[in-house]
Amino acid sequence: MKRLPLLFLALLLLDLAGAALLYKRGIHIQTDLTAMLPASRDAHPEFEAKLTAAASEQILLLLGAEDEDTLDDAGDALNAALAETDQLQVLIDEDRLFDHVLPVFEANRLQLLTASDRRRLANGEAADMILAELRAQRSLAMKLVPYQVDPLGTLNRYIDSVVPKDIAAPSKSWQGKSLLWKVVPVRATDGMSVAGGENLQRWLDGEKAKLLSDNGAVLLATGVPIFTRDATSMARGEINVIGSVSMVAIVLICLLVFRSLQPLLLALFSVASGVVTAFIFCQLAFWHLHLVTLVFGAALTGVAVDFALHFAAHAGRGDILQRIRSPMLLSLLSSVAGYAALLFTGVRGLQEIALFSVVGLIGACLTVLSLGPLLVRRELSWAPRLSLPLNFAIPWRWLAVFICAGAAGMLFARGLLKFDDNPRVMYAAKPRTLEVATFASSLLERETGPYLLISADDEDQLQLELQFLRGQIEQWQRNNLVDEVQWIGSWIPEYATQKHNEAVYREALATRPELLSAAGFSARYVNAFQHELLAQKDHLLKMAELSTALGSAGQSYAMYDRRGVATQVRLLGLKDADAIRKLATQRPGWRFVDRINDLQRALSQLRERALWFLGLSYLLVLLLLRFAHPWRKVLGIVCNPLLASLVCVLGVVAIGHSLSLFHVLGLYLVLGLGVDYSIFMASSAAEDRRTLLAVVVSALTSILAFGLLAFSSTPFVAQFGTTMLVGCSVSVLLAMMENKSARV
Amino acid sequence: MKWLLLLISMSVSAQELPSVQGKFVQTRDTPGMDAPLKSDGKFLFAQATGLLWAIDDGSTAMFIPAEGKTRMWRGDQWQTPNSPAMKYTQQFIRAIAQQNQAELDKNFQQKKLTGEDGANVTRLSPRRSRIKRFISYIDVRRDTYLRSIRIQQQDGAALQLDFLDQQPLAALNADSCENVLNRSACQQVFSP
Repeated sequence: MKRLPLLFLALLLLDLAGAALLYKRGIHIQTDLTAMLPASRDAHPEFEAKLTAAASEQILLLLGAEDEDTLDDAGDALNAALAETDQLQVLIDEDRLFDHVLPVFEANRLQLLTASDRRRLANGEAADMILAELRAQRSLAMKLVPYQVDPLGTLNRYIDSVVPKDIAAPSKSWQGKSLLWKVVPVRATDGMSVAGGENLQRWLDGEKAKLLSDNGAVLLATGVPIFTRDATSMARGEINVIGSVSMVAIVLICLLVFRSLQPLLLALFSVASGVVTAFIFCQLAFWHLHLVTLVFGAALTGVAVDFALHFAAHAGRGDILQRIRSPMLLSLLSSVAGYAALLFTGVRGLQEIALFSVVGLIGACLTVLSLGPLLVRRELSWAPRLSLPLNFAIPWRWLAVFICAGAAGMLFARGLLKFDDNPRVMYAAKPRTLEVATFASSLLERETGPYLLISADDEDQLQLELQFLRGQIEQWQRNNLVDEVQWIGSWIPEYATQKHNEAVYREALATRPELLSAAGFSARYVNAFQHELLAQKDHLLKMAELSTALGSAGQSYAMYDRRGVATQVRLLGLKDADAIRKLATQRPGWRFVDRINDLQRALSQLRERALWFLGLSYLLVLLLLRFAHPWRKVLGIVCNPLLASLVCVLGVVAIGHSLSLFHVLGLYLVLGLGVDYSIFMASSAAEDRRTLLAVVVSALTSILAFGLLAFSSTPFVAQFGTTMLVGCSVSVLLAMMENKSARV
Repeated sequence: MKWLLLLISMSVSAQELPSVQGKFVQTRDTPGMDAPLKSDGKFLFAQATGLLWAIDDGSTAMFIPAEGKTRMWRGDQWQTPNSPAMKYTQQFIRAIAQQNQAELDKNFQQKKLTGEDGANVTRLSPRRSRIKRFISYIDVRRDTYLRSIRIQQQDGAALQLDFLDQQPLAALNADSCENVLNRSACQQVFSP
């Protein structure tokens, strides 16, 4: 007994050592759901991670005005404001295109020819082309690339053919008003943090008001950081309300039952100790810890509240440890066995949750056993009779289990019990945010959808793959598989074509200086031009050069690191994803990325595995309990959480919802809590009111802490909360309907 | 004084401009060329309809309507160019021809200069960065009629437009158009 606090000291020392290691290494929290799946077989997974990170930071600013001039003025005002803030970084703008990209094109103009110009030059039509340009010089028109740089007009035509015309302002009606729109892609430098999201919102609100009053223009913003900010502000509001209500209620219940806050402190301290230990252990074991693991691992560790309250209910009565040690350890082992089943799923995310909750429970239990005798000494002076005057005997409970299971099976067979793995349940957004996102999609006439990520060890090897891709794109468009393909490689001809273009251009003009002289160019100009033509450059325009010129925007199209190079190929208006996905699996270095589909697949896989292994969990709990109790008692213990879980499932169907991963994770907690209640009840004497009181208080705290989350506006939180609300309520009702004196 | 200038500019911009026809000489200085490119042609201007601009050899013409996009005649058909540089050219020539002070003030800082021959010249310097990319400044000479426009480009090229023999024009339509362009081209651009 006296050595027990040493256990806690040992735990504390272990935590401190782990924390020191973490301090040196840093904490890594993963937020990408697909990272919870088995590791990708992709040779260059870091590129996809980069693209995911870039997409999560991108915001589209939509600037709308009634006419082009107002839009221009508002655009200038917005650019000036963007230049002054460090919260947003413009990804691509006209300045960069003119100041950085255009010079790259000009320096490589001999290699950049449209197929039609190449044909004309090869056919000896250079003189006609020069004359046509000369005639154009007699009009009032000005050209992007000046005449003296591009006397044949080939570069102007090449740029026209490859550079998207997104700069043009599309017209679209917003809230009943027809406006012209300009799209400015920006990167939020700190949009994902709470403070960053708030600052961003303040900046956007200020600019919206200023642009409206000064220019009569409308500014809209959409992107992941905007959704994150919405979710944060809504979650904060809910935490304030739900958290405050549940905390006050829990404190009042503890004061009412125990006449002291010490049991509550022991409960909070034990759970906190368990979560900290689990966090440190898992960070060191997995390197990265997923946010979902942290949230649900901590929730599953919440079962430990039972230990503390059970301890408090029996405190001050002789050798308390002697009295509660067995049921508490049995309860711990059964919960550990239940959660440990997830370790065998082969799915990394579920394994993380399993390890987190197992370590957390052990840490919490150790804390209760070692600090409980020091913190809670006063005997419970008041134990009301809480059992209901109804004996719901074990055979009847099992009958109810079979009826509910049969009903669930029938509903599943008839397609009424459905599963929903839509990743959008992870986000809660205000109606206005959704309206702007929908508007942006319709304005750009596309969703930010799937893309191909093609990687190779170097750019030369990548060019070979891109050569193949060019042929494929033509075929895809011919077969109507995809409307449009956007990729930086389309701005640059393949190497062989570049060499061919240069040779054709050189041949057409190098031997015929008189063509330029006839157009009126000076001898000095013609000599310089001839010199440039005759000089063997041996320079090919590569993606790296263009990507650098494009700056931040280019980096999402072409990425480089020591291990290789990759390019992103955006597929717009995709009609048949499966055909392109199939091709991608057959080509080395190709990866078809469909974020929404991948997330949905991740959630579906996690849910399926979690559901199957919930069955294994029950089996493991059954086997473990069999070591301590006879089968009859074991079946009595297990049927309570099972019945509560089945009622949850039927309840979900009854309210017209579908079952998701987050319901299933809630069912694990229902298993843990339900088994605890049953074990404590089974190990108590017939007239022991304290155990039932501890069970009821524990259930009430769980309902208040988790069950109230059912009213959250974030769907996945509400799904977990609903499961807890129903599961805990049914579990505690079953415990209250257990008449021990009526047992055989 | 500022309000007085504003009042004058408003009264000038509000007044009905006479419709005119005349000849022009277009001179383009291009770096690297021995001599400037010269073209002669005729123009027709009516405030409510627009400006028609045709090179004498019939190969090139341009119609800048009072409202809407500019069209260019390439010898066989009309085209609507869509480049940013073209957009600004049409916008400013239209504003200068129509004496649209509000439009000019929005895009340019205006400064009065005296030309070598003592004539009044207004120098228009772009306010917006995207116009500055193409145009360094525009000099406009005007007395009763518009006499010349010089567009100095950022790449060193310059376009000088001199307007000669200006006379009143009854209307800018398919009939008057045929004085400067062939019938087919005129009917395509002025047919209802």
